[in-house]
Amino acid sequence: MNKLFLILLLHLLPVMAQSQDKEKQLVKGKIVTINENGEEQAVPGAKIKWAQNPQMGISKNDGTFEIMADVLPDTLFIKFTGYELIAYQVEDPSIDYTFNLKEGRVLDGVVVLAENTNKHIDLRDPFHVEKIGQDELRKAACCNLSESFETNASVDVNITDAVSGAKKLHMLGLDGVYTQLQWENIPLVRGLSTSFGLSFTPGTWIQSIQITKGTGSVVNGYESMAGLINLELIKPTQGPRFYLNLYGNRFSRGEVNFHAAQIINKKWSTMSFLHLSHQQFETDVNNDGFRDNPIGTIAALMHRWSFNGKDSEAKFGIKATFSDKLGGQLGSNGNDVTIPSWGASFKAEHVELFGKTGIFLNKRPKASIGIVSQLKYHHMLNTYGLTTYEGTQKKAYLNAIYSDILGNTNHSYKTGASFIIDDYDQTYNGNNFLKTEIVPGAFFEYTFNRNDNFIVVAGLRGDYHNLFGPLVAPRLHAKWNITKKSALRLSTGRGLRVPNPYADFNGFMASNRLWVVDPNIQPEDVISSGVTYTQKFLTFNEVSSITVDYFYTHFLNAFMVDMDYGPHELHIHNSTATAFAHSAQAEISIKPTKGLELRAAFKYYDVQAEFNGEQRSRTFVPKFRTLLNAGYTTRNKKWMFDVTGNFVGKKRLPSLEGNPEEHQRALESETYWLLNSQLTHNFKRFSVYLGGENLLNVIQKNAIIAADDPFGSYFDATQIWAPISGFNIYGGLHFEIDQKEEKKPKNL
Amino acid sequence: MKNIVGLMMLLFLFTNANAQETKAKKVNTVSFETSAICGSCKKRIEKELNYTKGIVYSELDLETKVLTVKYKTKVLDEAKIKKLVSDIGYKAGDVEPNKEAYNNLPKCCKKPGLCED
Repeated sequence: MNKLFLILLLHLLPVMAQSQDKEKQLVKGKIVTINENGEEQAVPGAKIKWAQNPQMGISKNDGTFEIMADVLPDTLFIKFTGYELIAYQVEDPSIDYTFNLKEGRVLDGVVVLAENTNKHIDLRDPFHVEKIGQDELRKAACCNLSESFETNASVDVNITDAVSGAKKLHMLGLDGVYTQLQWENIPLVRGLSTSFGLSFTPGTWIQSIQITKGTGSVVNGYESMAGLINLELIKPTQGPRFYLNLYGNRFSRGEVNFHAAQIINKKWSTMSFLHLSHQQFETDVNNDGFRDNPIGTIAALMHRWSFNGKDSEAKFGIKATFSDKLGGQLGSNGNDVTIPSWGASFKAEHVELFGKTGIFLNKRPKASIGIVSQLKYHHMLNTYGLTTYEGTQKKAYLNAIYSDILGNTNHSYKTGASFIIDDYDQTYNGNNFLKTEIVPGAFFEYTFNRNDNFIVVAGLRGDYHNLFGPLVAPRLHAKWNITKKSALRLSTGRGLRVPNPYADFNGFMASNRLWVVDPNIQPEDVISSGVTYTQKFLTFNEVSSITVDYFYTHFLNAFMVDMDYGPHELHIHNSTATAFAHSAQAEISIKPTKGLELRAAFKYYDVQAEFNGEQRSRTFVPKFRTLLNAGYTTRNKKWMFDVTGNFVGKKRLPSLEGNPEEHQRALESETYWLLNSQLTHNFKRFSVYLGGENLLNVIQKNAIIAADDPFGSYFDATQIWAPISGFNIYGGLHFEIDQKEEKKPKNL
Repeated sequence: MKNIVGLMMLLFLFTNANAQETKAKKVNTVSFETSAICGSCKKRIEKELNYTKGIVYSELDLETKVLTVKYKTKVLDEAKIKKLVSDIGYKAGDVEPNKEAYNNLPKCCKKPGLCED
């Protein structure tokens, strides 16, 4: 018996010795971050801490660290100011760990952007997001959001008609209504503002734009189908203390932008924005008797407050826009019916209150709560000749997001609930339509992240629409860094949207087509899938990149605006017939020498749906588009020169068969070049710019059908596929005074 | 014909080389290490220098903290440039920063790691 015990003890001894060994283990690693040029950079001075073990450490000058551990596995926390906290489950002490710190900290789904002022695609992001910074935005100095995409290949901007001057974005070959727009994760244009909302956001307010192709995160709602565009407006702590921008162009359009920011103390800051845009004189370059652009005024203002506490932050404020414009025939006055000319008027008032709160939970170092809220009033009154449309939208929006990790940062999740009330009151030619949409929803999004190299985001959201019942949107995104300089991304998901025909396609009222609208409107339903590949490489010590992507959007239910029934009708209805969009894009960006950047992109579209019972290409969508861009900045940064050329492919146009011959048009548009250029000279305190748009003076001939008889049945100003107003020359200046150094928050 | 072209090219090369030689006397490039830390240091130094008379361009490489300045030799020399950088508050090669300017820098532009909580 004793002998047996002895043998057992002998066997156990080495085990005990081993476990004693395990008690004091050295964990080694290195802390790095990827800098602006995509290169790895050591991070010295980062704090290292265990969740359970008492030992602490700090990284050395070369970024390496050593830390003892009594018990393993344990969660290792790595903290460095201005960077996201890393929490990693360490099990095996024999591995040499490399931790990659990411700039900014994450709050309710918005990555606080690091200062990267140009356009780039982040290789770490699981979503395919193009980021446009302020330097890129300043390449096209004019004027509002719709003009901010001039040097971008992924977003097309088209004018909707020859009267209103309104512009719409197109992504993946699909109308702008399929792209969800938001600013700082607050809904931007939604409901009635889809057609005119873009002109309500002045370009100088924008700090950066993030463009996600395909479906976005479920956190933001069920609506992103072709894409998700998020704007970051200038924050009080980032902006200059005082900023003034003046702009004037050859069509007598003048603009004034004025911002002022005040940092009150370490926690509180505030900023005010004012934007005035006015066109005094009517212009008619194409001599059709119609104003090429409406005359009149847009005024926009915003006042915002920021609070940055230790464990919480908040933003809130008010935004308001007023618009009063007159289009139509020269000399017409939309308000005066005694003048026997065809006039158009566009009036809008938009007021919103917004708030965002973020709370970091101290007990759980990676947990945070974010609440986004918005109250909005939008009213517009548009007339097109004898057609009148009036719409009022009152909206309340609430979105609450809780995010946390599951054990370590390899597994994280976001979950929460949203609530939207939209009250619509619309009148079209005396017919009144009332509806109230109440949509409560909930979402859950799980993220698996393996060392940032491999990330999978799986999300599911369910909303209950009071008019249409349950709306369920599952989405999946994955990213794999095949090498350090390349990323392969996959995405698939469902997107849904409730159409508002009179507001979404308001520009089509600029014709005497009879609107045949099916009263039984159903939500649109889309499955969008895509694959993208980004490769970065070094040329002459500068980072260049190639991106190719392909997206397929399949409509389970499409809301059709069909002009193919005949030249005098416009049919609007849901359709479950085959409808899809193929979009393929390749883009290369090279920096051959310091300061010079060349970009070329090619895009191919095949977008089809059922028109008048026949499978056809969607109208006004080009078969392809080529973008060439060259930007040069002198090494002392005093001069900046930029030139962009767009070659736009043929578009299918609706048939006007049945009209007299002079009121018929080709069934296909012509190809054309759009050439824009800008020169900027920076002085120490201010900069001046001079630019030109459509420098080749491309004008669509006879753009308006039956322009000489606007009250007759042939009149149609919606058949627009090219510019109608010829070249534009503009100039202006930026003037700014920086914040005093000591007042800047120390981390920025 | 080919010979003529060749000759012309040779001639062109020579004149070019000559031009560069005379240029080298007019402008010079100097590089030295600085105590810059972050992007805002880079912006501060470059902006101040780029708008100083006699400087063609100045570029700070954040990774190595090396500042490269191309300047007109008629107006400036290396010592003057280092003094300029020192006056902004940064160490320039072996020249120590101007104390007053250094004290006026934001905290995080003084020493790495100072921005810690």
